[in-house]
Amino acid sequence: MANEAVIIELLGNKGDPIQYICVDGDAFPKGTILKLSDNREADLSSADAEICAGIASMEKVASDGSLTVSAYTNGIFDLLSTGVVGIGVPITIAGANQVKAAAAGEAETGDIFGHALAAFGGAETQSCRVLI
Amino acid sequence: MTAAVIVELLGNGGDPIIYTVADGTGIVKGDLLQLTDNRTAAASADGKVCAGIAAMEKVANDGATTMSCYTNGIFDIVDAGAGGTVGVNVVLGGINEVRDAAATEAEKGWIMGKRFATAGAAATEEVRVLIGKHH
Repeated sequence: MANEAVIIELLGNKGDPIQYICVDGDAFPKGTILKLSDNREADLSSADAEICAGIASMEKVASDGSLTVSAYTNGIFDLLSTGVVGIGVPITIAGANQVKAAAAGEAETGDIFGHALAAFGGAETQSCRVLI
Repeated sequence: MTAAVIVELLGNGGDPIIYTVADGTGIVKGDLLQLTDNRTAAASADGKVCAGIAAMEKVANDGATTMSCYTNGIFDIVDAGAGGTVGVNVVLGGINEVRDAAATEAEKGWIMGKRFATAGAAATEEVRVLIGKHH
């Protein structure tokens, strides 16, 4: 993976981490945007229309025997967009460690996981408020 | 219906908020409450704004007119009947029940959290509750 999120500020109670189960064979660099892949289970973000589980708060090495991963759910992070996002616009997962401006109807489907705190002029990294 | 059960309290001890309630109301710990008036809470119903999850029991006519509600955490909550898929946002679906959010319900402020597990019809599953988040 590349383009992991970078912590700017952790809000709430130290970023309000939530623990998810994961597959032992998974590898998560710290800062990876995780998706909800099953019942309280997290996996690497990979495509549009995925539900964000949080931002990996620790590194997990593949096949290290660990079956859980903790993810930040409340804070401000530098995230990479796939295109233009206006300041204040809600964001969703667009791909592996990438975000995009939310489309109509994505509030109800649960895709939105934060909003832009700075304007993205294109595919670039800017700060975003994440709250899951 | 069965009240919600705490799985984890997030934020600052579940970020409880105090609401006004009617003295004559009996509230069970874990009841889902709706906003009925200015910072006033009562038993939940479909199509209402969620105030939170009762953090304590209140006996009817005990003289208390306030109630503290958790607004941030993970809770086991009963599905209203249709079930739903993990990750989908939910709204109040009845007394102590949730259902999948429908179109335009985000703008109404009804969304109270998202499913953390796929729920079968009328099943009890984990829901991430976060009141006040602008989904």
